[in-house]
Amino acid sequence: MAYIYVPLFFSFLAYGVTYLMASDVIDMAVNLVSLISADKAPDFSNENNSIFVKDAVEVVEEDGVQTVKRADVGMADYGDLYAYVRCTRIALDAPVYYGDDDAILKKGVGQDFASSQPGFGRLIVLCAHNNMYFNALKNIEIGDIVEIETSYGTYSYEIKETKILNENDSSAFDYAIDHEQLVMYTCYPFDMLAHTPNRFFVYADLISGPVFVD
Amino acid sequence: MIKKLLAVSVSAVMMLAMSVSAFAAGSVNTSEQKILDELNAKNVPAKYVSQAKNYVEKDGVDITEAQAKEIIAHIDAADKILSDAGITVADLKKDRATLEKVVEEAKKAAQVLNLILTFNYTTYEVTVVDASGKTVAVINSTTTKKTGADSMSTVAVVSVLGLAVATLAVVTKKNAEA
Repeated sequence: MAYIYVPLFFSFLAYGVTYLMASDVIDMAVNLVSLISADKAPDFSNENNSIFVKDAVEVVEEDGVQTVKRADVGMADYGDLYAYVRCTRIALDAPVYYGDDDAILKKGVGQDFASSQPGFGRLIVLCAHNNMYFNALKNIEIGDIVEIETSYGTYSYEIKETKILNENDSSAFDYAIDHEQLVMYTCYPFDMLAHTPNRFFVYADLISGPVFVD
Repeated sequence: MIKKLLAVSVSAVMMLAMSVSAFAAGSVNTSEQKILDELNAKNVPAKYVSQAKNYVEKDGVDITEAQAKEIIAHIDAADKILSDAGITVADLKKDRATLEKVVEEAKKAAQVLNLILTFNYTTYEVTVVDASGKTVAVINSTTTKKTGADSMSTVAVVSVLGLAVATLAVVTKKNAEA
């Protein structure tokens, strides 16, 4: 019997290993064949909409206080590119999309759809891959200034704390927080070639930015 | 558990927050505030309340008093379902039957605003879309997203193969020496 099941075992093992290694290529080939054999033209309309227009909204500054009309503040829909997050000292400069699914995280920084846009005095949660847009966070330090530029002004946040927590730690951030807080996170350790159970969190508080007025 | 309860709550919140209308221009009107207050009163997780608040702050969203009353009625109904079952939101994940009832209430609340709520019983993710199919709410059951490089399978397979080749080489050499 061994002459039967041993070759069978190793054959299936070899096929399995080969499939695992080539799965990405196989998926690509299947998609290509689907594209060629499709009955109608493919729909490439999944490009994310951009509502970011630099300096689109007039920001009035008086006595050192910046204001914008609330009615001029555009609210992003799911998947919209609506801002850029920057930190010059660590060379962080990335587009921010409203939403955080896998497709968005391949394009830039994703924002938890349940969190708020800058200027609303609430929680802002941003995430990105540790080997891409948020790899720079490994060099962040307390006191660094992170800016989020939107169409309705630029908001600055000062880094107050960093933490390493489990991916399921519900204490990582609070949606009911009583002030505007920016939270950025990515997988930890940095430069790992796989998913990790831990996240590197960066916490920053708002220090300046346009205030909404009616 | 919390996820399921959150999902249900979110559904209700979404429905509440989704009425379409005039020119709210981002402000939260009295009716919308009542809904948000009701969600907080029913101890709906802050994540869902925050999602609902994002929605009502959108331009063109202006929930009427009548819609708010109807939505609040569904929130109360969902709360009663939990009370009758003698469970809390935290226990909802263990009670599929009760969860389904609560989700149904959430779906009815969404319909008040012409929204379609979908609940994934495997991932506990709540998705709400409007009549045009545009996503207006997505509530994940996870705290964080996977933000690491995803090449583990390839690395693992290559590592195993490398180890196998090395082992084979050692065994072959020893056999040759023997």
